[in-house]
Amino acid sequence: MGNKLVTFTEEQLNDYQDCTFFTRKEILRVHKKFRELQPDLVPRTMTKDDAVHVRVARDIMERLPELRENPFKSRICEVFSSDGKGNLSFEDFLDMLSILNEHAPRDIKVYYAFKIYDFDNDQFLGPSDLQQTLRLLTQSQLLPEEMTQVCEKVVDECDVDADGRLSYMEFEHVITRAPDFLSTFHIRI
Amino acid sequence: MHAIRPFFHKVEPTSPQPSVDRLSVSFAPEERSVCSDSSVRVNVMAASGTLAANGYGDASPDKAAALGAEEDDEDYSVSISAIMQRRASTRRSKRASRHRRGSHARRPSSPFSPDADSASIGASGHQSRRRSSVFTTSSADTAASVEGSGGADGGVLPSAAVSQEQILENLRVHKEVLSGVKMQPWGMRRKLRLVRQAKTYVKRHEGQLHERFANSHNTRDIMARFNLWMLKRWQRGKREVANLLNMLIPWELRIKEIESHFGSVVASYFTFLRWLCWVNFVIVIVILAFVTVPEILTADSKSGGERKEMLPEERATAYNLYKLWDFEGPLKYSPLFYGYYTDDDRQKGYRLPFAYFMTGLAVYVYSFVATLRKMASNSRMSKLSEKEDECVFTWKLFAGWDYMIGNAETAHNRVASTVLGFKEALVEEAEKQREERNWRIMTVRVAVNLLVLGLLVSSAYAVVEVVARSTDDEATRNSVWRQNETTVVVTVVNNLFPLLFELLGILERYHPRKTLRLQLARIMALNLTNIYTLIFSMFKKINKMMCYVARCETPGGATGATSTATTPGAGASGTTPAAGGKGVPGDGQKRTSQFDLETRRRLHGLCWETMFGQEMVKMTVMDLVMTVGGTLFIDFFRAVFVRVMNNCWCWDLEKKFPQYGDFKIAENILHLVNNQGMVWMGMFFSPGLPLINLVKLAIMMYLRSWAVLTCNVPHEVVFRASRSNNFYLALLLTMLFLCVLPVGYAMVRLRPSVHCGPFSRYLHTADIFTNSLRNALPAFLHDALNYMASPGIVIPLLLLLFLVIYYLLSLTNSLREANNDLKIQLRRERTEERRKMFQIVDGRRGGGGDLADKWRRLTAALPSAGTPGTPDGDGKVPASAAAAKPETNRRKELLARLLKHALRKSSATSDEESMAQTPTDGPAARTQVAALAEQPDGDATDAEQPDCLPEDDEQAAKVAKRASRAARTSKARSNGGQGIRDAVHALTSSKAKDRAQPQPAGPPAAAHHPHHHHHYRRDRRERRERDSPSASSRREREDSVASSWSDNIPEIRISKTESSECVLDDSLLDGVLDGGPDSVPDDEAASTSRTTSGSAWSQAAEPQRPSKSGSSDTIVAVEDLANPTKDAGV
Repeated sequence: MGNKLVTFTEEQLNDYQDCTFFTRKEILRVHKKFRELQPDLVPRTMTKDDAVHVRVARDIMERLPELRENPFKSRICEVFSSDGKGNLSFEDFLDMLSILNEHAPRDIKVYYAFKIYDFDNDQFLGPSDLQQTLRLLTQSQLLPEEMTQVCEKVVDECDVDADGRLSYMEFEHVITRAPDFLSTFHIRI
Repeated sequence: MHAIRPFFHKVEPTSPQPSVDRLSVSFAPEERSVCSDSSVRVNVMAASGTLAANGYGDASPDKAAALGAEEDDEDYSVSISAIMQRRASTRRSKRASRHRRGSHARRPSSPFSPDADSASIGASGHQSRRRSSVFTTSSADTAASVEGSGGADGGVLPSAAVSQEQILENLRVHKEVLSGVKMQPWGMRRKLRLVRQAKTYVKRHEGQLHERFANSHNTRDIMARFNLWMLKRWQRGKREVANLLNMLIPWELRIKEIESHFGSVVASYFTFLRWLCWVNFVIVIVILAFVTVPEILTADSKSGGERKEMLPEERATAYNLYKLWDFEGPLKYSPLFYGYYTDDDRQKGYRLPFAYFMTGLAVYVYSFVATLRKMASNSRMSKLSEKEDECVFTWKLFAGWDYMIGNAETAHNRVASTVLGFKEALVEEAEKQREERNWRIMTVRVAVNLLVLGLLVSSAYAVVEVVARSTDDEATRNSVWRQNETTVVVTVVNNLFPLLFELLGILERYHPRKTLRLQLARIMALNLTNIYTLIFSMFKKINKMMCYVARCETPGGATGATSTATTPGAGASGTTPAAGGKGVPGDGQKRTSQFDLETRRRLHGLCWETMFGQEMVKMTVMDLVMTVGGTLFIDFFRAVFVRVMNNCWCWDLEKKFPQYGDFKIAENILHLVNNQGMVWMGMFFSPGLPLINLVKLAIMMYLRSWAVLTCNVPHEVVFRASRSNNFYLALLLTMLFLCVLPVGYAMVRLRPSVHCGPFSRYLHTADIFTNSLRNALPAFLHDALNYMASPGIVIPLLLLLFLVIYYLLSLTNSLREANNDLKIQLRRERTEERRKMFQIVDGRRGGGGDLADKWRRLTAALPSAGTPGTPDGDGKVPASAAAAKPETNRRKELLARLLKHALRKSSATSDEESMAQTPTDGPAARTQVAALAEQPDGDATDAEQPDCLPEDDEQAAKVAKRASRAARTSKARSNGGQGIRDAVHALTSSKAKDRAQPQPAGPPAAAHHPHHHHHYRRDRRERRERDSPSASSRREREDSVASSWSDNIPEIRISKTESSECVLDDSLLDGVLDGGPDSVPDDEAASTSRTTSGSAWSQAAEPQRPSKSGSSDTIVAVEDLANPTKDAGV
């Protein structure tokens, strides 16, 4: 590695490359991004423990330019954080960007999309999840009755077993055929 | 019949229908069962784990070690098996696998299901306990062996208990793990741990292998060592190359930044631009390598004469900016243009004219191929995304947000457009197809279209006029304006008219998407009109020029030829070159190719190819200037003005009038397409044009990206990029095709200029190709070639092509139709199922108690494997029979007719007949009819009470009793009835019975075809189930839940079955046993009725029969049909 300052050991980089859809350069760029969020907290050289234990708080995380405008940002942080509170360590961060990378296959993206939209973590997208998603997506610009209508339509469209909520299979079934999903569900870094 | 079976065998799994079917149907019950009973789910996991283990792992000698393994290792093993499972499933899905046909046929991505996840990640103690038990017993053996052989205790391995192959195998497993780990939805820590573990294993064992290899000097070992080494190197090299390639993509960061600000739509413009850059880059390289550089290196500059030297009087003003701007002077005599190249067609060495021609051809072919390949890859990417209107709301909801948006304004717009989209969709949904005929708007639209037409015509007229004026005398062409007239007019038209179109488009009040499409189409039409009028008027001009050349050469040439002996072509025919004496290239005479000054002066500016190229180059450059100017003024200065003056202005500049410019994605892309079209058209006559274009594209890339980032705001109406990608490429392809046409015409029809360019010795440009071909081929092929080029071949060939096109078109149409049919079918099925679900919910509400309870009650009622069910059923049937009398009668009739019909047929030729025959053949028919006649009674009862399983059971039992096999049947039945958890047990027991049975229960020989069938089928099924021991349990589980769907409504079956015999089969089933809430007994009874003569051993295995008449059932039936002859032989 040509860098003067060794951010990661060679071994770490190789491992990260195996675990993510990033190239080495991109991993370093991810680190740079991560560090920019909180330069005083995140060290320049990451030994193993730092990558796991140094966590950037959620509200700082959400200031990331790529996330800033995203209506689901806090939920995304929550899903990917290993402590469940939305605070991300570097590895969580890397994981998140890797999943949202454009090279990640569709299946894994769908899986995480489901997780993101499943606000109450009950493995189903119930009416409350849908409402919440819609509220965030439209920033409450729809009328309440319109929102209920839309949610009903959604359930109507994809709920095969008529239990009033979407299971993962139903979600996957519908979302894999959405023309935009792949092109929109990624973040470039 | 023999032939059919393999055919079906082979074809069925690859046909998409069953899987789609499954996809839409089967997961629902599965999910339900998953959430209801976790043990079943674990079974599923175990099963698939076993599959993976069977496929990849080696049987571990020490399972006990695995059982005792600690949590960490176990976690590891789980991970490995999950990865392997995924791999295996993806791999298996490619092959024709019959496991997939079972209820487990979700998708290869099954490990992603949340329950699997919760099982593997979730910390619930209960679950993890279960999981551990499962994984250690079945699937963990892979991991166990891996751990045991390679892990902490090094004692196992060195004892050479594990063979070398095994190590290699393990290594392979680990490498697969390494490559597959990133596909898993786990936390980073877990992935990392896995990777490290795998890596240490690989490292250690590769080291050991190395040692082992190093000790032995066996050739094979050395080879293996070398292979290992190479593999390592190769992998490292691959990764490095990937890193490097990624770094080398130009403008990647820039585009990403734009993408993050403006979303994927705007970025698609830049990726398109970059792609065009690549295409042009390749073209430039090819032309430079094969045309320009050889010309510069090899051509004799003196013999080039009039091609490469300026006239003395030209030289005086050559370096005026104005001349340079016009691409006159030194530029005209540079390799940029056609005229520069020599026609020195040596027969040995580098034949430049030939190279020129072939390169031009190759470049065009490359352009076509590149565009088509891009389109193909695009359409492969968006294969799944053709259905537009299926789940509008869901897609809007879940795929509505573009995660790349990082700009507040874009985000705001996106939100607004999403809201708008939802509202629109709601409105559309509310008043679908409310077609209103607003006459006012109609008239406006008609008027707008007329206006657009008028604009197009006027632009064409302007172009014609301008080109006509440019052929006027030199004297009038001296002003700057006159010199640049053509270019300016074309550019202005190209830039101004789209604005007018846009204004007109607003008047039309279409949906914005339609407006955009119309706008694009109009601009495209405008561009094409312009280019074509330009071309045609140019050709006219060229004709004039050629006439002029001919005129000035014939009289003037006569004098010239007499005075100076250097006039070209004065050889063979003795006429001037204009008379066409130089059609033959090798006419022996060495051309001096030197005109005298006077002739040159006269011929000055009459090289039409160069003129054509000049026009194109000028247009390209002018376009660039306009783009730069436009960007600066329309975007940059406006933005500066708005920003600065907004503070001291009387209205809000940012919101109201000038605003900031927005990035008009469609117009910009069309601009690119148009520009590329010009390049393609001028490329042949100006080899330097692609180079100029490359520079232009690079400039535009920087300029545009800068402008977008600094002074543009995102478009308010956000369109989708994904689908329009190919649309733009299609435009490009059309453009390319249309641009090649005039070039081809010029090559084949127009006479090249006599005094410039590489083809001056030929009558037509294309002659060089035909002549070379002629020279290269032996004489006897000439006739053949001639014949091939004659109408005698060409016309039939064309006809053939038309036929092929027609055939393909109709094929596409029929495929599309089939596709639609399938879609409709799918949808209907889905609604059917939904309806059924509702019914069941209603039924539950009404009837009270749920299915599981019934089962439990049933099993409670039948504690032992005795016959207590029978009297109970007998007592019940007559009571309900009276209630359902009429229907019973009807059914009886139907059945009787069916059976009679079947009996009449003797041979099993047609599928239908044999199917109908199956139940009735043989002496058992009478008994059976009786049995069937009895059965509807029970069914009628069932129809009334959707959840009375016992009846069916008892019915079957009754039939069986009549065949005096009651005891065993009901035993098996009750086994099956004991529910999900006992399914496996039942299977094994029945299997055991099965194996024991065949010899003694061998039915009376010839008369019992059905027997044989079922016997055969049973065997088959058994074999299948032995392959996947858990398949049956899975199926059973599905049955128990899915069966609750398939009742009361016979239609569903029809839509599912494809071949007629299955329809018949199902209708039979329905007719006989309709209304059974659980189709397991349905099937049992059906088979009982078929094989009434009393093959209880076959009934014993019945519970495993899939209940739904889905694909697998169909196949079984077909297999049966295919077999009778074989069975008879046995």
